[in-house]
This record gives sequence, structure tokens and C-alpha cells, in this order.
Amino acid sequence: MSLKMEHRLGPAQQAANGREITLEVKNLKVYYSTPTGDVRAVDDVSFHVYKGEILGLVGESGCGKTTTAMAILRMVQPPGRIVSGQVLLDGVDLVKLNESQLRQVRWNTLALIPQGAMNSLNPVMRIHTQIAEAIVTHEGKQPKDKLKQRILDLLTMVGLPSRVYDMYPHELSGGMKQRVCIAMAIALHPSLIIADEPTSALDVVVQRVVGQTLLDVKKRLDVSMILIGHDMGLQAQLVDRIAVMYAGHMVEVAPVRAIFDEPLHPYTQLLIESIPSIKERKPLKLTEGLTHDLRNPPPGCIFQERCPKVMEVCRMERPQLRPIRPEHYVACYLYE
Amino acid sequence: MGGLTWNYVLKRVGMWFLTIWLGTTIIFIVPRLAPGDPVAAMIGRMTAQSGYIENAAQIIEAWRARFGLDQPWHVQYLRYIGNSLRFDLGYSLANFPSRVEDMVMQALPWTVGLLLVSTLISFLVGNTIGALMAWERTPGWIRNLLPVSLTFTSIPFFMLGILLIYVFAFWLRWLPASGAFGRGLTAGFNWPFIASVIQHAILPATAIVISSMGFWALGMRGMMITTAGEDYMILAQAKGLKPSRIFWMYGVRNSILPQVTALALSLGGIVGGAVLVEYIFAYPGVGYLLYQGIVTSDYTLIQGIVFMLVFTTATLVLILDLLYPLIDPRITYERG
Amino acid sequence: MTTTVQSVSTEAQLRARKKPRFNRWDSPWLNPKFLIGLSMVLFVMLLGPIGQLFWDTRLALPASSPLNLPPPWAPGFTSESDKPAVQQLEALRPRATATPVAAEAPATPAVSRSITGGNPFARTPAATGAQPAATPARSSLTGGNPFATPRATESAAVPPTTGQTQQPRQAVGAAAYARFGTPTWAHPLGTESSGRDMLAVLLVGAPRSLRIGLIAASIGMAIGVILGFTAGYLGGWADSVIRTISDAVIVIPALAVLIVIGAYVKVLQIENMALLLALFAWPGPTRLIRAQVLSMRERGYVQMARISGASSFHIMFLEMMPNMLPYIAASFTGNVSAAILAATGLEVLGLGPTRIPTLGMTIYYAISAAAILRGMWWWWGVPIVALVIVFSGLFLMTVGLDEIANPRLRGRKVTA
Repeated sequence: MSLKMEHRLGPAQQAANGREITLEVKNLKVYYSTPTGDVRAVDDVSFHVYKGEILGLVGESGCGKTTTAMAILRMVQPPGRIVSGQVLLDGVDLVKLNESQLRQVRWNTLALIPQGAMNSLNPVMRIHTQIAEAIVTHEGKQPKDKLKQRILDLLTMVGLPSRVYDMYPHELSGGMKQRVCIAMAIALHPSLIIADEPTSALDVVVQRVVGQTLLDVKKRLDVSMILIGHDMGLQAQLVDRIAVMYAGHMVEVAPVRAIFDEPLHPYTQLLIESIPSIKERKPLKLTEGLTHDLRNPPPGCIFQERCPKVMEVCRMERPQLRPIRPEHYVACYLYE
Repeated sequence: MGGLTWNYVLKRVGMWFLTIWLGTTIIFIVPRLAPGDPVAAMIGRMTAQSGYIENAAQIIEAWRARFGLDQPWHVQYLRYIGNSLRFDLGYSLANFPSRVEDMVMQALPWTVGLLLVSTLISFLVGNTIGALMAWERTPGWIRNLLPVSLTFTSIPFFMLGILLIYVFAFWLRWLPASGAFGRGLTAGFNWPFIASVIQHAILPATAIVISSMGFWALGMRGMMITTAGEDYMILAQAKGLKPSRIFWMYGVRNSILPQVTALALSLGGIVGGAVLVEYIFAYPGVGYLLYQGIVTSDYTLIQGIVFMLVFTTATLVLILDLLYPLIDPRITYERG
Repeated sequence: MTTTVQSVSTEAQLRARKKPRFNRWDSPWLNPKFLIGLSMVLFVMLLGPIGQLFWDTRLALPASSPLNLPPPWAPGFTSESDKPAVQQLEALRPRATATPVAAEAPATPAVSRSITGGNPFARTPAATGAQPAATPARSSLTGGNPFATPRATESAAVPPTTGQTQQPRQAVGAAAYARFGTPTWAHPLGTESSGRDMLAVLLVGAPRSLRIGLIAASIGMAIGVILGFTAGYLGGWADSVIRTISDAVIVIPALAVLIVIGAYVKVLQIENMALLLALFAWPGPTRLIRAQVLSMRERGYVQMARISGASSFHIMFLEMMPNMLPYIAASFTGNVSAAILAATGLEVLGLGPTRIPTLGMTIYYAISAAAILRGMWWWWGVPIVALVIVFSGLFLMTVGLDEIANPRLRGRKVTA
């Protein structure tokens, strides 16, 4: 294996339970300013990712998952902005870094597997050039044959034939392009990889291949990952822990088995219940109620308008994310 | 390399033939639609000028033989096409016994030189300005170049030429107003001649460059903005690549492709504009020769020159078409 | 994937929506670029009808006015005070005709010509030499003022006078200068050497140029719409044929072929010229509309219309066309500009109508009479200014319409 030692940004961070933490997001707020007010895309979100695990970040479209990922990468585009919060990667706060520091950090310690690899590769550059530029930008000039070998090794690791080396993106299928993106992401052995819905645009068979590739990569390199998605079934197969978001708030974080066996938050329960099952026939469950205006969230719990178990206290103050069981956090007054 | 397949080359060469054939046919048809016998009318005109009566018999002979006016239409047509393809363009009526192709070949290098140099400069400079316009890291003073370069876009080449003559040749006396080189200089690779050629070419070339620069700048700016919204820009940024690399390899490299297509499409107009510029500057290219042909009713000269213009333009477009797959690996079979 | 159904619009949302905001990208009538451009074009277009109420357009006929009068407001014309000096100088030498360089041009092709006699960057001696007593010595020929007629018109064709001082050259120039009559407010834009009043020429010629452009562009657009829809909607061999022919016609340099036609049909009426221009104006709109139709054909609302049994005609003109109007409008203004340019180009070469003055023909006469080098800037200046206003106006209209048609061009920047 020709991958060098893992790139870390800072010293290993320890959590209270002794496990090493790679990423810690604390009270992150990302707002988009519009002429009629700020849209609170990410409203006081906190979570952490242990070393070597895959954290699944799920929620419906528009709940703020991708914005959170972009905020971690510090790539939020105007009119969005990071209002406050900390993003600690190996203990270093990414929010405080300036442009050139960020450029050094990016890809080295923090990589992205983008959504829709269809268009994420530069159409006029060959595959090996695009992988090479990531390496060369951060590690300086490399001897040609060593570089070529390294790239070929990467391609093999993600299960791609070596002829891909010389090809252009348009000559590859969707699944192959996605795996090229994975190969690029692991090229510098970063501490954390964010995979933003890597399988959304693919058909089921290819989804499986790409998902398997991700698992292989994680096992071999012991790299931490955040896997963003909205397909609960797929998440169940790939991740270690799941974090559920709703309308910019984190509502539940728990190990994957716990989420499926015992979803605590009403929203999570709805999510789990809505997964179609081959085995049993389930009636289609519709929620009553309206969604709120993202510009003017109601005081109290963010889910109050649609929650089937809403109580008086829910409308008064926002519930905090608390550990109900070991490693099982919920933000809901049902459990306080 | 790239996508240069036989299929593509054949299609492009086919278009080249079609274009030339179409132009040549129009040139053939028009005189036959004009009322009266052109030969007799022309002889009458020349008799009135009493210039070439002694050659009249030879001229009539040459003309009739050339066009085979005693033969049926389709025979004339085929002979005409055949002659044109062999660059046998007949005798000049006003400068008998000079042959048209000799006169054209003497003038053509000047036109091609002026055209190529001006078009190349305006394309490169204009596209660079347009690209910088769209990039947020460009300093403000360069940003303000766009409105300035745009103001001249609406001025046709030859009008700008008139203004330039007035300001620089007449008022300031810095540059010559006409011709391609000074009198009393021997043609050849000696420095005085070359310097004089450059000096005489400055104003005509400037007229073309300044007028067309704005068009390229505006188009490039639009393309850069479109490219900026593509997914591969996000990944490029996430990879921590240097901003200059993103600008050139991701932005410009992808935006330039439609611009090259636009260049091929606008060559017809540029050639027309160059004809007028030559007329204004009495620059001894085919454009000026064409004007003289008009004044002296030298029909064979006019037809010969127009044929050469059609041929030259079609050939330049063919060259561009063949170069296109080399810069865009996803060849397109249609132009644009 | 969640299958919960969401409804929208709380009270808060409705309150927040307030009144709809119009910005300059919703309608051409609110777009400043479009409006400014339109006003420029309308200004020139209305010059004709309104100008004719105030000015006698018969002055556009040759020999209706005194010859070669500069505009009275041009600075530097102190003809009254110069008259004594001019007469004095004229008495010294016989009149030498300062035959300007360009008039020789038709006779000898490809012969080099240089005002400075082949010496790069040299100033002609007269420019730096002594000036008549009336004016102080200056280094620039025109005393630093581009609008003033120079004191001397240099020409390489004038044989150098041996053994004589600067004064004879002044006399030559002064003689030419003296041939420009006394400016008067009766001709506010001056006159030219056939005795036409420039203001009248402007009033008569400017609307004509616009008209040619409008007619040619309209015909071209009409053909383009028909062919573009046919190619885009029907596809198959019709598409291939139309596309191939239009691609070929675009490459052919239109002006060159038009010159051939114009050279044979010596006198071109405006309407015929417009028809000829339309011959080369249709490929652009055809390509554009075809591209639009192709991209729209697969859109949802078109599919719906097809499924619901609407006729092709209905789909094309009632579903697709309204969505294409911004593009069609932007293309139209661009085509008008190109048509006017082509028409002017033909006229500048002398292939335009001879009885009625048009802007292009005026420039042609001016260049034939070497007006640039004689300093008669008003002769070619007036048509150029009018045409520049028209072109700039049309350009602004096109840019404004483009902004409406293409939302992405609205002031975004690349971030890197």
C-alpha cells in the first residue's frame, strides 16, 4: 500500500468515554440572508464523529444536511454565512482559519465526495491529471513513475481497471465516476471524508458497488466519514451511527441499531415507519399539520407543527440534545 | 488524441465543400440573372471610356471562352466550377491581360496577414478580459476595462478605422493613413521593410481588434459565469487547488470551447469587415482590390475575389473545426 | 425516503410574502439598458419625421447649398480674421492643388503610400515650422484642436519645393483652407462638396438606414422562425437539411457575395437591398430557434400538451413561442444591427442608392473626395455619429433583453 501516513490537523482528541474524536461540531449556525429575513438553514447544531467510524447524517430534503457539510468545508456560498459555532477537526477550529490556511487543510485532512459525480469531474482533463493535481498541490512535485504507481494503486483500491488512468470523464459510467471521486478523496489519506449523497444519482446495483467501496475504504484506511443521505435503508447498511436532522436542528443521534430498533424522537419514528418493507404491508402514514416558515421558526421545539405527540411544553422552549442512553441523544421533552 | 475520428473529419470536409459550392453557385447565378448581356454591356462601357478598344476582340474571346457563353447553362456551370477549383479565375477585364488569380495571389497575403493577426489578438485579449471580468479576485481597475471595451463593440470596424485615420494619421501624424509599406523600400526580409509593414499595419489592425474585443469579452464573461455554476468547480475548490489553477484549468479551459465555436461562426462577418477596413485604409489586400474591381466594373476580378474570400473563410472554419476536438475531448458532431 | 405529505403556507408565510417585487429582470420595460437603448434608436428613427417639420429636406439634394462649409460651432474656425492672411499668402504663389493621397488610390493598386514619405514617426516639417503671423507657433498641425481645420494639408503628392522656406507650403494649405467657405448657421452641420446640407442629409438618411435594417431583419426572423421550428420540432431529415444549409450559409462572408450582386445590379433600391440582406439574415435566427425548440421539446408542459392531443401548430405557437419571446426579441435586435451594418457596408463601397442620400453613401462620397485627409470631419462625422448611436442603442437593447432571457447573466461572479 503506497498511501502515506494519515494526515492529521492536530493532536488526537479524546472524548469522555476514551474514544478518539476526529470532528466535533459545536453550536453551528448557518443562516442565508434573504430580502425578507434570515433563513436558518443550520440552527445551533452539535455533533461529533469518532475516529474510524461512519456517521450517517439523514433528514428530508432541505433540512440542512448539505449546508452543514459545506459549512464544515468552509464552502458556504453567499448569501449564506456561518454565523457562529465551532468546527473542530483534530482540535483545530476550521471556522477561524483564513483562506490560505484553509487551502492547505482542504483535501489533506478533510475531503469531499460530492453529490452527483456526473458533473463533478473536469470534462477536459484526464482522470490521472485530476487525481495527480490533488496530490501535487499538497505534497509538492512527485517523481513521475512513483506518482503514476500511486494513482494506479488508488484506482485498484476502489475497484477500477487501470485503463481508467488515461480516460476522460465522459467515457466513464456514473458508478465509475463516483468511484474515481472516492479514489481522489482518499489519495491524501485525510482524517475525515464527507460523502454528500454519493449514491443518490445511481441505480440500485451500482449503489451497492459504491457503498461496498466506501466500506472497504473505511476498513482499510481507518478514516472517519460523514455519509449524508436520505435513504434510510442504504444508511442502515453502511453507517455506524446516525444523526437525524430536521429543519436545521439535530433531533436524534444514536448507533444505527438503536435508531432502527428503538427510535426515540417522533420524527425519527416517522422516518423509520415510512421505509417500505418487503415483509409486511404497511398503510401509508400521512402527517397532519403544516410546516413552519424557515425564516420565522416558532419558539420551542422545531417539530411542534407536525409532531403527533406534541405537548404544551414543546411550544415554549427548545429542547436540548441530551443523552438518554449511552451514546443515544435525543432532543425531545418526552424524555426529560 | 481527443476525439478526432474519421467520421468527424469527413463531415467537416463535406461542409467545407458544401460551403464553397454554395458560394460559388451564387456567384455563378447572379450574372445570369442580371438583365442584358454582361459582355456587350461591359464592352459598351469600356468603349465609352475609350480605354481598351484594341483589346476588345481578345477580351470578348477570352470572356466567351472562359464562360462558354455559347454553350448551354449546365456546361458553363460545370466548366466554371472546374475552373474555380483549379484557381483558374480568368482574365481581369480592366487590367487585361493580367490574370485574376495572379492579382489575387499578390493581394491575398496582405489580407490573410491582417486578418489572422487582428483576429488572433482580439480573440486572445478579449477573452482574457472577459474571463477576468467574471472572476472575483480581479482587481477593480481591470474590472472597469469591460465597459470601456464594450463601448467600441457597437462601432463597426471601418468606422473605427476612419476615426483612427483622422486622429492618428491626420491630426497626430503618428502613423500612416494608407498603404502597406512606405515608398522607396525594397520588399524582403530587411528591417526597414518589416518595420514599415508593421507601422502601416498598426492602424488597420487596431480598428479590427478594438471593435471585436468587446464582443469576445462579453461572451467570455457570460460563459465564465455559467461555468462557475458547474459541479466540478465545487470539487475543485474542495480539493484546495490554487485559485489561479481553478481559474485557468477549470474556468477558462471550459469556457473557451463555445467561444471557439462562436469564432468559427463569426468569421464570415469578420472577413466582410476586413474588406471594408482595407478599403478605408487603401491596404493592398483583396478587399481593396475588390473595391477597385467595383469601380472599374471588372466583373471577372470581382467574381474571382469573392470566390477566394469564400474559399479562405471556409478553409479557416475547417481548420478551426479540426482543431476543436483537440481542445474538447467530447467532440460534438454539430457545430454548437 | 419519507412519504409524509407536506402542506405549505402558514399565516406567517403569507404575511412574509407581502407585495411582489418587480426588479429589472422581469420585464423589458423595467430594464434600464433596454430602455436607454430603445430611446437612442427611437431618437434616430424620429429624426426623420420630426426633423422634416423644422428643416427643409430639399437641402439634401446636391447643389442646393454652398459647398464645403464647416459647421459654425466648430472651434478653431476664425475664418474672418484669417481672411487677410490667406489672401496675402495666396498672392505669393499660384494655387497648387493639394491632391490628397486617397484620391489616387483607385488608379494604382498595391502601390505603397505614406504621408510621412516612408520615414516612421517623422513629423512633417510644416507641422513644426513657423506659422503665419496670425497665430503663435505650435507643434501640432491643428494647434492641438482636432476639430479645427489645419493650416496646411500635407500630401506626399505635392512636390517638395526646393530652396524655399516654409511659407509656400502654408500657402498651399491656406489655399485649400480658403476653399472652405465661411461657416454660417444656415447650415448648422456644414455642407459637403456636392452642395448638400449635412443636417438635411442626416434627417433624410438616418431613418432610411434604420428602415433597411428593420425590413431585412424582420424577413430574416420570419424565415428563421419557420425554418427553426420545422427543424427543431420535426427532426429527422428536415432537421438535417435545414441545419446543414444554414451552417454553410453562415460561413459564407455575406458582404462579399452581396458585393457581387450589387456590382451587377448597379442601382439598388432600398427594398431590393433589404430583400438581399434577408437572404443572409435567416441562418442566425434559424439556429437559435432550433436550439430553443430542441431544449423545450422535452419539457413537461410540452409533453402534456402532446398527450392531451393538441395540434403541432398549437404546441409550437401557443406553448413554446411565448417562452421563447425574450430570446427572439434579443435575436431580433441583434439582427437589425447586423442588417444595418451590412447595408451600410455595401453603401460605403458605393453600391447603394444614388438618388436619395443615405448615411453609407455619404461616407462613400466623403472618402472618394478624401474628406478625412482634407480635414472635413463633419462630412463623414455626421453619418458616423448617427450610425454609432443606432448601433450602440441596438446593442444595449440586445444586452438588456439577454439579461431577461438568461437569468444567469445577472451580475454573478466566479468564486475561486
